[in-house]
Amino acid sequence: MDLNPFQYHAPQSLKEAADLYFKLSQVKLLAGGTMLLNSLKTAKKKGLKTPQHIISLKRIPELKDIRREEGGLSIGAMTTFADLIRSPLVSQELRNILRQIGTTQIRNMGTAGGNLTCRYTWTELGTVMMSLNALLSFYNPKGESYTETAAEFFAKQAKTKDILTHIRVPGPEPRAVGYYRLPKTSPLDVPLFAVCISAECAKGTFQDTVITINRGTSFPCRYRELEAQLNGKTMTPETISEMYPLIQPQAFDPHCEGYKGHMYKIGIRDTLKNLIKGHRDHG
Amino acid sequence: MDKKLTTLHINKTKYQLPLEGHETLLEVLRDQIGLTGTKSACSEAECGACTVLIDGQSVLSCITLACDVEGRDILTIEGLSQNEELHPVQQAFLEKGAVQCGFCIPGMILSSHALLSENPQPETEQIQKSIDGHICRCAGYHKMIDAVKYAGELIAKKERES
Amino acid sequence: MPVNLSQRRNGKANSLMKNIPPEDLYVNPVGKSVARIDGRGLVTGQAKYVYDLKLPGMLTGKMIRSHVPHALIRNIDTSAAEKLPGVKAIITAKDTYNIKFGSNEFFFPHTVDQMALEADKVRYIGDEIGAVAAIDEDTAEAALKLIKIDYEPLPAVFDMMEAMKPGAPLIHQAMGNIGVLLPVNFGNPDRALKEADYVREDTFYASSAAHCCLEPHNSIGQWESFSDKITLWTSTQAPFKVREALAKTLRMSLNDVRVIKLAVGGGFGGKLEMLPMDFAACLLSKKSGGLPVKICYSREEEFAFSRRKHAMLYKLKSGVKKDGSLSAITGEVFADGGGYCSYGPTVLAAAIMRIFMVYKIQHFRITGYRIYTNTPISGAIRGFGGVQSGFAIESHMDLLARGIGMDPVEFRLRNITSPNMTTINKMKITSNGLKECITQSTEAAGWTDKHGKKLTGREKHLKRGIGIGIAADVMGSKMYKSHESAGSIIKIEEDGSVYLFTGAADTGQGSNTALSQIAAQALGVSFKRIKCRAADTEITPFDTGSFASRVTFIAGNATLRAAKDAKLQILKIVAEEYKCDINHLDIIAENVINLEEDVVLMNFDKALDLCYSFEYGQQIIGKGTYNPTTTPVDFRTGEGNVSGSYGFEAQIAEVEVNTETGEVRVMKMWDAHDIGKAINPSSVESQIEGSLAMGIGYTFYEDLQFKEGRVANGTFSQYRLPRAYGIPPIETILIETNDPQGPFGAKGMGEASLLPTAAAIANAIHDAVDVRIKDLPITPQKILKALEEQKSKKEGRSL
Repeated sequence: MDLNPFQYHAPQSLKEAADLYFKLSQVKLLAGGTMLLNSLKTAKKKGLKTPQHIISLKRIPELKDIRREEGGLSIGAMTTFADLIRSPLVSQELRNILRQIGTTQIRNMGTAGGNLTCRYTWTELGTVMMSLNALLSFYNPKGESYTETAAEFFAKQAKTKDILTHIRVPGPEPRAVGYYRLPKTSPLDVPLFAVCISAECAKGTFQDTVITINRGTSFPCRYRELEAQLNGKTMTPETISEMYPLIQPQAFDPHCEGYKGHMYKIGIRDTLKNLIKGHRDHG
Repeated sequence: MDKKLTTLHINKTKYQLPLEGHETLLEVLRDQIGLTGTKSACSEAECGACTVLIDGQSVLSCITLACDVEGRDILTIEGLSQNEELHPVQQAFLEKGAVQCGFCIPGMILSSHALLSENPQPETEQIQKSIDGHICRCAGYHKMIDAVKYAGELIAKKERES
Repeated sequence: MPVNLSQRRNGKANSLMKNIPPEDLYVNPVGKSVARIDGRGLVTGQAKYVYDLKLPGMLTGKMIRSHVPHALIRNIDTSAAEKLPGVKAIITAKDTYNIKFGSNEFFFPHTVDQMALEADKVRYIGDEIGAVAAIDEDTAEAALKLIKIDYEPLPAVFDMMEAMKPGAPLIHQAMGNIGVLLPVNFGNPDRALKEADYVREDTFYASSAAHCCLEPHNSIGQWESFSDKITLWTSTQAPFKVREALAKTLRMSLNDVRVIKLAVGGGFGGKLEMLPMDFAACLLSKKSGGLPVKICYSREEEFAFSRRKHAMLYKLKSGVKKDGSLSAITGEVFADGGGYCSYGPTVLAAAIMRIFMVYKIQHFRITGYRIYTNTPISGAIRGFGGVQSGFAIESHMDLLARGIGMDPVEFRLRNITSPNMTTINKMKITSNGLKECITQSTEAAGWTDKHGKKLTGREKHLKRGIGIGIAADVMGSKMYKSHESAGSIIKIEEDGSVYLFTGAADTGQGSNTALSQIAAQALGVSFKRIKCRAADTEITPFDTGSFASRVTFIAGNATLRAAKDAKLQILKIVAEEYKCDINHLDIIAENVINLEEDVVLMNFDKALDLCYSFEYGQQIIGKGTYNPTTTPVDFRTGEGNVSGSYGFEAQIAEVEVNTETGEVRVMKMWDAHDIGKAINPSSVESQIEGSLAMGIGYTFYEDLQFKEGRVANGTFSQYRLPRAYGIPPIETILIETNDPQGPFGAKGMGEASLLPTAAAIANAIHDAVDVRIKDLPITPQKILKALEEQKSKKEGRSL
């Protein structure tokens, strides 16, 4: 057997899942399983301790919906990447970004909530959601719902003990967004880094630009210096040429050197290119 | 740990099996039901050899808990062809010489079938993208891509005829 | 009684041949892309691999391995593990005869250096010292943890150049840890270098790599108590070599050891020899009273404990004349061998001596060293050292051409071997399409419009270039045994259905299909009549194995002979019945014809009715064996005609280098391959494409790394393989030179297409951006660094 034994639970509602989850010890929530089950296999091989209980969230309908609602798009935590890519409610630009992540099977299995909460380096969605100023809704042991920004969530070192239920991407107008990951050609590789840039684009200028960077760690960060320099500039190739020499990777990744530092600059520049192109094509 | 009587719908057949929570779909298919067409070459979600379709979508059975897919429609390579007649995707892989050692083929064929169900006339890039979760070490992929296109034609021809 | 049937075709025969509709793939199938004979099983998931096989009472086996890189074994305490419920048998060297085995016993007896289970010493992390059989995998794993091994640690050496230094720890009793020394020396290279117009020195490094067959090594051993026989089902390329090693180490006769090959999930050279796991599965079965024992390698075990590619360092110094003729090639090759020799001697030999098949050279001196290190064992992998040498030599040749300002294609055309020649080391080349390979591939690729033209892509930092690499390979060689024969039996049943029994192991390359095509063509019947049973040492004739691109040529010739034998048996009866001269008869397109009288006598079914009739009652069983005509290679000098035929290859790569990111996009590749005759063109293309894909992986990212003797990237998530989006368009050009010895003119193939790939790409990169990458893999980092250095050099010059 690839996995150590555990008790499997399949609650039908969020309430039932939460009651179980907060009551039991040595327990893990199972979303798409692409991360958890793989790591449990590795743990077994290495002789590490594994959980006694697994609570599958697959049978909870309220975690699977994608809805347009006032103030934005609401994505249930158990929505898979494939669900999002297929949904007409999701903007074309976001769908194009999601297509770059994982393989077909991983996109069919992996969930938005699982990707955000596992806090592994390939939590690529975190970088994107932070850039889009997304809000994350959680359910805590007291039975309360609360919301925090993706940025607040990723600023915390520890993994959350609460249950992520929904992700809200503000709207209604979609922000222009660009994404870049290295390596570009192999979606399977844990990226060396990834960049996501989003901006309001009133009157063809950058407004409220958010640049987030996944440095290959579990903590995506902002690159505020460049954001400030971009705001107010027109969305043109000339702006990109003007900005390119100003990109200073040491500002957000002090230890980057050589190749990675060089590629950060190119990555940020190309993300801006993607953003402008995407905005032109879809906006 | 307790065994629970679980109902799995595999290849349009209902199986009632006493399962433990930690058994993967791959283990249940191969070791309990004897459907050994589903392979595994890495057991870490990288190679795609363990691919099966769940409700028409390709998933990796090596990281799927069998209990987690209770009641859902599971298709393995053994369920693709009807009786003696090959499914058009199988026929196309055979005719186009897309098969060498065959170990990746069950998964590759199922992923191709899932693609063609959504997109009957895929372009090269779409095919490359949809089989990006599979490793083939023998054949260099080109003949598989040709086979998927040809399978699309075979399916269209079949539909026209019926 | 040789009957030259094909030349006697006239009237009826010709009309029969002409009336086969072109879409009929099955009559006269040679040269047609018939579907795989075993294809239905593979596409329906019904084909059984050893991995799928389950036998009643089957136990799970696990190897007991060394956790240290180099130590003496003081004691192995298995007592606690033996008491664990569910453990059925444990074996260590005490249970064995301590007989060494190796892969090159005939030519290199001193390299037979590995024991099935090591008794006194371990030489790398993973070295096998025992095995456990238990009721399931978890119990076997638990038992492993209870086994206490008392080591006396020895200093270890992981780097081959360190291992050669005086004072380095000795891994075997070999001076300087040099397990194999190959001095190959012809002519007077020193004088030739002095007389050359241009001399240059280059050092190249080719990394280690892994086979990554999708099916890892899997074996089931079973001992039959009442007959004291062993059966081993194993995922192998060479069942008869495995049998030989099992019989030797278990001290049994060959007919008491049965090795059965089922469907095999790829081999690529990694499944060419007995591994200790095969031995252990059999011995564990015996010790547990005859229960079958299955040992399956996990992917991690496959990476860490099977076999790997020799990393090689090439130091080359060569010279040319102004007119482009090669004066001399000299240098040294260092190969990292790991803990034992495996196929090392022949890998090293091939890494040096392949050059003679490619280039006409009179003055040559390369000394090869295969060095023991305390790392996993290097062995055979597709290309047998030719991939490493292909990278080094073909890069070096390009640099030599550049050095005298000559087009690299012209340079090669000036120096290549030709048909019907004997090389300086006495290789007898007969058919040789190397020139056609070069001219046709360069023409298809538009070489003259692209090379040296410094074209740019869509943006100005995308620089385009084109490069060539050429290669040759043995296609029916003899390097391991006194004979290296193949055998086939053709058995024709009463209803006209045909069995082909061949010893050759189809591991996915399609040999069952190609051999069945040869059988059908030679018999004169439809391919649909044939069923093929292959590679079961108890049933099928002997075959050395599926390696060195040898099967089509050697097993193909054996099959051709068997089919001809069967045909003669039929025709003899027909001749007797019709009172005519057997020399006038032939079977063509399912009909027996009297060529002399130009009449169809009967169809094949009727002929079989006659053979099995009341009067004649003759069983039709044809047999054929073939042993290629070669001369033994003297490995002290490198002299000898190693192969019955030689195959040739030219490959062109067109690339686009992104000078900002260092990324290389291969835009297209062209591959022209002299395969003699394509028995099954689709299979041939598929071999070329697959081989080339492997070459692309090796060029750009496959790099098996080690840390203190332990594999550092031994999983598919860390060791990247080419995927569907990584393979450029490939145009294959089949050059059919009709080899005089080959069955229907065919030679082997399958390996040559990966030999020049890395160099073709490296040469194209040089053409695009004037930087030279001399160590594999070619990463964006290396290209950027080289571009930086080039830039600062230029700036330095302008200052």
